[in-house]
Amino acid sequence: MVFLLIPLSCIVHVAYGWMFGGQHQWPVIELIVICASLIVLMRMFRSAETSRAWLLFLNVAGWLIGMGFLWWTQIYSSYPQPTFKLSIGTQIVGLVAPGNRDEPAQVADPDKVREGSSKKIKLPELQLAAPQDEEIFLDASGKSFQLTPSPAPPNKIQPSADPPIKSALVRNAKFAPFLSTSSATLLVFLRGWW
Amino acid sequence: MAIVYGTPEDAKKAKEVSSCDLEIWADTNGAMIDQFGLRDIGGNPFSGEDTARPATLLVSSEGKLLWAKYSSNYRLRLKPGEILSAAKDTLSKFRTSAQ
Repeated sequence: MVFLLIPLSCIVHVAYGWMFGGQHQWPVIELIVICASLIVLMRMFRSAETSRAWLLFLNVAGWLIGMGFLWWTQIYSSYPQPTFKLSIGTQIVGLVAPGNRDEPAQVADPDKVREGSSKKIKLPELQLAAPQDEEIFLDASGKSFQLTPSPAPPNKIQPSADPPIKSALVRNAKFAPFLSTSSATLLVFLRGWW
Repeated sequence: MAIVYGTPEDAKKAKEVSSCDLEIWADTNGAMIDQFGLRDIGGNPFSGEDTARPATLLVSSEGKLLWAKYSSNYRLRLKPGEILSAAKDTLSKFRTSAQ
């Protein structure tokens, strides 16, 4: 019974992280439960007069699971040195579709922007998860409409010049991804679908 | 805007699994994660293929990187509250310096 607490702690840790994203660098509670279980198992082994082989097996298995858990949380799941290449203020070319913004002069924190202001990177195109046989446009009120059968080429879609409010946003595989026309856009890189 | 390294089918699965409202884009050949330095070589525990390191970036409407956070451990993710708070702080700084 005590032994079961060890794998159970690992399972709870994974399940909690999977379902709620709540994981810490050091899973303290799980480690305390595992350590306590190992201590109890060891004491049981020392004081036992019967079933010593079975208790020895449980001890070894418990240690292996505990060490495996520690290795996974602290070593295997950790990335080596940071490899992130961009500094704050770097201009990311390709995220803004031509003429597709309505706030022309967003000013960044001058100190931070200065650090990377000379850098520029050009991004490749991405594909959307949804089927890509359509082009969707949003009008000024945010309502979407579709152009068929032969939509205008992306570079001919221009927002209204004045006032430059949301218009002609395009969601299409042919396009480089675009930024929101509001202040900023959050890019979230996912590790995978699993 | 969420980006997954893989095929559009992977992006679709990611959207289904996460049930999120975001559009999920597929970086099919990894060119984008390479630009950001987010390639995790052999990071897929099932197939051994490369994956992207989890990262969250805030980019201004002009395409300038304002804020970035990348994970040092794939178990650890930013909570929505942390992202919102960072975005709020960064954008309020922006507005202040713009005025």
